[in-house]
Amino acid sequence: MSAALDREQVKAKIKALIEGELKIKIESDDYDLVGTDTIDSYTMMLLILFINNEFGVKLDMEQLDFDAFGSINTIVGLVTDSN
Amino acid sequence: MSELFDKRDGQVDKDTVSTYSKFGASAYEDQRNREFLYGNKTVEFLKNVRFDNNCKFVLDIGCGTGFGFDELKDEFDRRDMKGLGIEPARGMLDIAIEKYKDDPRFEWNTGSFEDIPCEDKSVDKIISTLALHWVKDLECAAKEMARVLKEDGSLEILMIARDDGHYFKKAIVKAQRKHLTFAQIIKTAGLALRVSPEQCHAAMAVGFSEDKFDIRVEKISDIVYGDFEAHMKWWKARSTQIICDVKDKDRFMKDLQEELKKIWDGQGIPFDSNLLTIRIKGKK
Repeated sequence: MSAALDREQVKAKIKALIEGELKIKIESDDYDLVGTDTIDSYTMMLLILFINNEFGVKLDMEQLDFDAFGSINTIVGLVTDSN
Repeated sequence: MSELFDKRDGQVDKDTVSTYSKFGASAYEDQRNREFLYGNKTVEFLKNVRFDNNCKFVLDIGCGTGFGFDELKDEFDRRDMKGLGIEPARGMLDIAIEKYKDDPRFEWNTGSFEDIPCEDKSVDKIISTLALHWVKDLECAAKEMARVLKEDGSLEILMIARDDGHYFKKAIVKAQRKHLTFAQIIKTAGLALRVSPEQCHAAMAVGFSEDKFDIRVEKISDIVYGDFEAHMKWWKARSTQIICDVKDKDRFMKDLQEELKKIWDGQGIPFDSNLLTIRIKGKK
């Protein structure tokens, strides 16, 4: 990921993808997406592809689990933490 | 898991589709599957397919075991049409070939949405039922269909929508989580393409110029109730890749039954069916 790309930009793009795919409005960046059954596995797959294509971050699928997609903030962490 | 990132390269995933040659082909001929959920929806869709008077050559893409032509045989008799069914899964195609070996009106060939074995502008009508979700690149499929369809031709396709079985599959994933790794679950989630009506329309418009063709994409939603056995009959046929990855299959089926029991609502286990119909017609 480019150093110029900040956390807020990453967050906005990820949030837009999830809200667009699931046709929902996420009110809080800490909202529990997994525990509330909001996010589905197809959207997770799209996010993994998107993070790779958009931010150049290739996530290690064997190291991931559902909790990594627990909230907007944890998903953003997948991108920023691997930068 | 590099294959996850390599899959959407515009080519059909032949490994996935050809799995049906080994495990799922005969299930599509099972009468219970023909009369339940996707079978029912397909029959309803095919009953409403309309042919122009000048229609002589019909192409069924992803024809499977020949289900589409089975249902449209009377129309072929009335209109003296010829049909070509194309399918990448050899096991399915072999069933169709055997079924129609004495009927010269129908031909069968290996092919897919991205690789149609037809000349440019040679097809009067394209039909397809519950196959378009197997493509990896919808725009590529639209371009290839536009290549073979005559300018005054038409197309009618039934495909699964983005949110087909959204709630039903949540129960399935809960059972999967007890038996499969995250990577395995995500890989199976990505086997089929899932698009909204808007995304589908946009992709079709890449192949079919809206100056020359009318494009209509509509969503049909329904709740279909069934018992565990009825749902498993179709689900197993369509989920061979998931089942292959599970080590303890008996335990998995028990967990699946438990999870689906939780969504039982008095009428049965509900499946939230969401399908797209795509209708494209030349303006000429």
